[in-house]
Amino acid sequence: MSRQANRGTESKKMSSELFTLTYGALVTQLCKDYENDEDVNKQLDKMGYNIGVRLIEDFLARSNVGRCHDFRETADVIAKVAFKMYLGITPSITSWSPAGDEFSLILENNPLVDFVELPDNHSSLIYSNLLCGVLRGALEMVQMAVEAKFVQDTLKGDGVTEIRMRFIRRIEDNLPAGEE
Amino acid sequence: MPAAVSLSCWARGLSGPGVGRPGTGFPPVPAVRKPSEFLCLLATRDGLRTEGAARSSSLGRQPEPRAGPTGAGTGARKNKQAMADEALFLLLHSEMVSGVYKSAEQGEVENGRCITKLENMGFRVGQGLLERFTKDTARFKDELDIMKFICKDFWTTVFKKQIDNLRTNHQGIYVLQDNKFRLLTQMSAGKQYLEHASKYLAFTCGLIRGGLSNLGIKSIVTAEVSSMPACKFQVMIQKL
Repeated sequence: MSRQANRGTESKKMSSELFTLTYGALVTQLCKDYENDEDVNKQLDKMGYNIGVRLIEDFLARSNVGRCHDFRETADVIAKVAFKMYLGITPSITSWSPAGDEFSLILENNPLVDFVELPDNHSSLIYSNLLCGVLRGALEMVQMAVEAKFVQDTLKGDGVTEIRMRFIRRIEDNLPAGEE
Repeated sequence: MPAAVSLSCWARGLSGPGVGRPGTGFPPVPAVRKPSEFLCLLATRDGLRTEGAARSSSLGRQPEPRAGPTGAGTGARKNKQAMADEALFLLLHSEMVSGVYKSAEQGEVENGRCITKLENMGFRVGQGLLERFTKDTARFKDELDIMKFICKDFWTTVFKKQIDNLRTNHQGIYVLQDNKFRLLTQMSAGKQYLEHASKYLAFTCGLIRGGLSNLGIKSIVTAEVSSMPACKFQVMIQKL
């Protein structure tokens, strides 16, 4: 039965397509709901943040990675473990700043944009902005305040997709006074 | 009998999402049919089990021989991988639901409008997914064959399990029952959140309707929950 035989190999690809298509439907809906692209970008970032805050739990439970000792190690874990696990890609890490607090994630192919073409009237839409929110939210939960933003995007004609990550500060636990 | 929450997950068999879809004025939902009117399908060929025929054996579990050619080792690995992007989908879905409802809080307050929005998103996804999924499959024999495809292959792809029970009255109404619906399993199982369950089913109603529409079947899909992780989708085929 051909239909049956297909399923095993296809099913993994299919489930990533489910995610891609669902995300596409979401962005489309947001574009309808909000008047300008900036608001959509903001909304995507906010949603991403909420996802990241929860995703980090899943990630730590599933991945068995230990504590990172510096930002370089964190970058490695993000690219080689987290992206691999959730999106099936391994971005490369480049362009470290001399101080070691900024780097770029280069995504050769971004699964989120598999079926996407940006229409002309949405030139300032950052389609995959959800990812930045996810990174920000997830890292905040492990005491790192970071800034993530897209600096290149294949949807806008660049050769690769590049996310620039900047370490802002370490978040100290604020224990209530009198508690150890 | 527990009070069933009847949902207004509207799925109109019109020509597309949003086309001719007024905010109000939907036809009334036909009352839920008596169980006796439905014939249990399934025990027929492979795959899904009926209530009666398979009560003693493992209900809803896939029969062993169909486990397929994948080796046990790769299977486990693959499963882990699949689980990982599943988490992403689940989180995205719940974010979508809360996003749609939050935006409604500020402006329009109508509940039905949010359901319609989610449903439309599902429709698009269902259409796209089926388009790609059926690319290399054999032609379907009939409507029932299509419904079985939805219950088995499609459901497995999206929710990692099959529909547990499929019934029909042979007059264009199908009831798909999932005893442990993936999008509800993360919610507390009591009655407390029963009224919120509809939000989390609208997308899936659209998914089914979109999928069917891509196979040339116009339908209306509604969902209902009576006890938490289980739910029923009722598909009403619109005859042309």
